[in-house]
Amino acid sequence: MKNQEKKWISACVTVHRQKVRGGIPIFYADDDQEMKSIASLLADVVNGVPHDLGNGVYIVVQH
Amino acid sequence: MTTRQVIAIGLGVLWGLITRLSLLRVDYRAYPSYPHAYSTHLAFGFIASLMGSVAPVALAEGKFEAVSFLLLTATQFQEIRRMERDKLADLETIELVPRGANYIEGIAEVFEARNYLVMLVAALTSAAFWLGGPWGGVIAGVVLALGAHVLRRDTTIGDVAKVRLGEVRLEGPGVYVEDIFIMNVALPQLRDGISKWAIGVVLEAREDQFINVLHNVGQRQAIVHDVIHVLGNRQDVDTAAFQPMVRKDAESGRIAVYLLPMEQDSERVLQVVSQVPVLSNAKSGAGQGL
Repeated sequence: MKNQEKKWISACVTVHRQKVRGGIPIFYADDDQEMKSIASLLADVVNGVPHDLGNGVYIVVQH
Repeated sequence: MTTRQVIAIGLGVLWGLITRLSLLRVDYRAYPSYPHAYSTHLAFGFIASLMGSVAPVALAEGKFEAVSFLLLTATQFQEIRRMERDKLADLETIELVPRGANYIEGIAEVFEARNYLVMLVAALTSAAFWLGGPWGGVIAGVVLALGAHVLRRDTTIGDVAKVRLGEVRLEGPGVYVEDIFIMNVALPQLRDGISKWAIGVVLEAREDQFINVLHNVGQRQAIVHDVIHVLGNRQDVDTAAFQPMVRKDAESGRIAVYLLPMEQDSERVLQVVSQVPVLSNAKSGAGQGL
């Protein structure tokens, strides 16, 4: 059961440059609208689901 | 070979085959639904009933080696189980909503068990003819074939749980069925789809001993697989947010089923969920009464 659902973060989209760093692809957006459209496109391209962390950061997760 | 032997074996084979055929009804799970699957299972059913009906006749003649042939047939039936398991497991990789290993094992087990059932019907029918004459054989055949039907009936989710609709709520990015959290969806267009199409179902165990059945992950997978299989799925290969999900409430033990069926009929969803069989391997530890 434990590893039945393998998930990983394939990308991160944010409007706050200082909030995200690290080894995953990060996309910076100027405003909320751009963040949503980038997240939507990325999700379509990599077959992932965009999740809202609630602090101006979206992550695209592979389920 | 005497006429009496021929009739005993013939009667056993006939009732064995009738039993197998009646157990091979294509049901809402549509499996097996192909002519080749039919012929495979009827052929195995024929072999099972032939072996079963020969055994009492051979034993009555004092030929005890018949027993070892029965053992040999039993190993062949384990092969049927493997065949079904392998076939369904191969198909899993391309299913958007897989059956899950527990369901596959359950289906394979049923196919094996039905052949033993057929063998038993054939053996007892031919023994009844041998001991009780033609009418004994016919009556035993009818009674046993009907008995096999009673044995065939599965316990269903509707028997172990109260099944009712649950409201799908969107709170910020969170998707809930009643107060049970399902997942976080960020994009407005996906949330629009969810608010338009999603149907939530809440399952509550009728008795405490059934809670384990509902909490079994394989059983939960079987529920979503069956509903989606019957009513269709809005999810495509690239819309993982529309994937059906089953989550449990840790506090009350309730189960929330979240899905986006093509057929937007909540009554039918409830009906299908209620009819999902309780898997035999989900019953373990569920106590008495199943």
